[in-house]
Amino acid sequence: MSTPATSTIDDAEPCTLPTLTEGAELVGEFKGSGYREPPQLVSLPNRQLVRLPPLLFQVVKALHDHRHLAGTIDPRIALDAVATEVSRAAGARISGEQVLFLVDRKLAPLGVTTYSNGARPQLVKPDTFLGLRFKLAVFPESATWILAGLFSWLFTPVAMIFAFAAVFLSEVWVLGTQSVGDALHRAILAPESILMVLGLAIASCVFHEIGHAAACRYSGVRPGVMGCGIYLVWPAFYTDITESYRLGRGGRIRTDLGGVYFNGIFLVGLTLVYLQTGFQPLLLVILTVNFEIIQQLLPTLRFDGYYIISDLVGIPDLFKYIKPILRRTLLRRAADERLKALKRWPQMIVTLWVLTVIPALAFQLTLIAVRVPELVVSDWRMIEGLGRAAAAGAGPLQLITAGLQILLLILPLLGLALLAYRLVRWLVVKAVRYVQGPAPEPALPGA
Amino acid sequence: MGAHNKETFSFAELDLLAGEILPERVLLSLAGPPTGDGHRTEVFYACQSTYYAGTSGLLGTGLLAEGAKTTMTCVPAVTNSY
Repeated sequence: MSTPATSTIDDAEPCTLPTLTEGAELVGEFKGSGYREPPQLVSLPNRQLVRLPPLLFQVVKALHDHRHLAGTIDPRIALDAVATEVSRAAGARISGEQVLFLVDRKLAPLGVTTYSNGARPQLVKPDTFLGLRFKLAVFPESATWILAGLFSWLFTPVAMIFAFAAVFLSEVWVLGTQSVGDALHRAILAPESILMVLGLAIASCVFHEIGHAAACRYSGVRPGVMGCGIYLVWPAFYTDITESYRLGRGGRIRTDLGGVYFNGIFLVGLTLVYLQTGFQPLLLVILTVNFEIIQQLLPTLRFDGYYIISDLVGIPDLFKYIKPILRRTLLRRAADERLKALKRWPQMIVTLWVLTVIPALAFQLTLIAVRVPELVVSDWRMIEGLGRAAAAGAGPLQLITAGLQILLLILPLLGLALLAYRLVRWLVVKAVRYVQGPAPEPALPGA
Repeated sequence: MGAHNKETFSFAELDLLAGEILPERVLLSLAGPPTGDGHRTEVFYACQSTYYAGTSGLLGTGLLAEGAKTTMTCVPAVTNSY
């Protein structure tokens, strides 16, 4: 959260009427939310979205409606006009001084408006818990838009009916009648087929991401960039679909499920090629893609399953509720304001999520941490082995296979190094804050 | 904050209001299997390379000559699971 350039609550007069940040946009209601009072959304110039309670949004809207008064009349008179409009919308009186209070303490620090002294706010990115931090955009928005447009027709009802039927038939036939054991045996006998399995598994991931982008476009909003990165310790591909907050619940869930839907279509394609060629290693790829789908639907880390639950309950960030729910459930403290703001059913589902998923998540993360030394040693051993095999006169395909495998082994080690760096930095910041003591809370006017 | 029966807002009530920058929605897929249990399987191949020098052709003229070639044959020799 940014620090205000200067607070003018205690100043006698505002310099200027605060305005909506240049490039920001009033989006409107966050549809299908799990909050008792439907929140409103504002889009910032950097395409981040801010959720505001109704009264704060009314203040922003009133400031925007009266922007023509900025610089033309006495700011106090302009503020009174804003306060009058907010009072009418809110059904209770608010003063010009209170509007300034909300601007300087609540809105400008989020980057929504300028400060009352005319200073521009700093735009800061939220610190997303267990988010994808280390990433590189490969396709810009314009390219994602075109790519999404090529495939968005697959979300029409007719196309989906055919696709679901094809996926069902493919899965039943492959998993019910074909022998994956034989396919594994043949893949081991022909090391070049490992390259093909790797390549197709990666192609499936890329197609998965295209599915998210296509669903986003079909639902009526622009998908963002696509790229790759390291998620915790694993190499990953990603699509930025932050704009999907503008959609209703159905559109958001369609976007979330678009990825596994496209995995299913990929499976149908693989099955058709297998039917034509009888090439056994393709069965390994089919199995791999099935595992990808299962892994994606897990609601622990920020995979598709997490976002599906988040959108079903209409709460954008479930991880924010871990602390208040654990405090209430385990420490028997009173429910804090964040929980009271939720409707009853979403609150129950989030509580269930926290109490079941968080132990699983803690176990998974502990397992990774405990296995770190073993992972480093075994990965280094495999890299040496692959390097020796390559140096012993392997053919070009074997070299490429070895190279790809080495890359997939190095990336988790790089991810570990980056995680360790972040952990050390976090500990240092915490230690410094502890030594300095908490910053004093600014007093409320009239207190 | 409901304002159904209120006439005015207090600063203390307004101070409880809070907005939130929503986290970016980044849907991702892992490019490798999410191992965490440390299980790996290594396959070591035994490879044999054969070099054939070729021939110089009919009476050394190059007619019907065969070029040199190398063939590599690999079989899985050791499979190690750990």
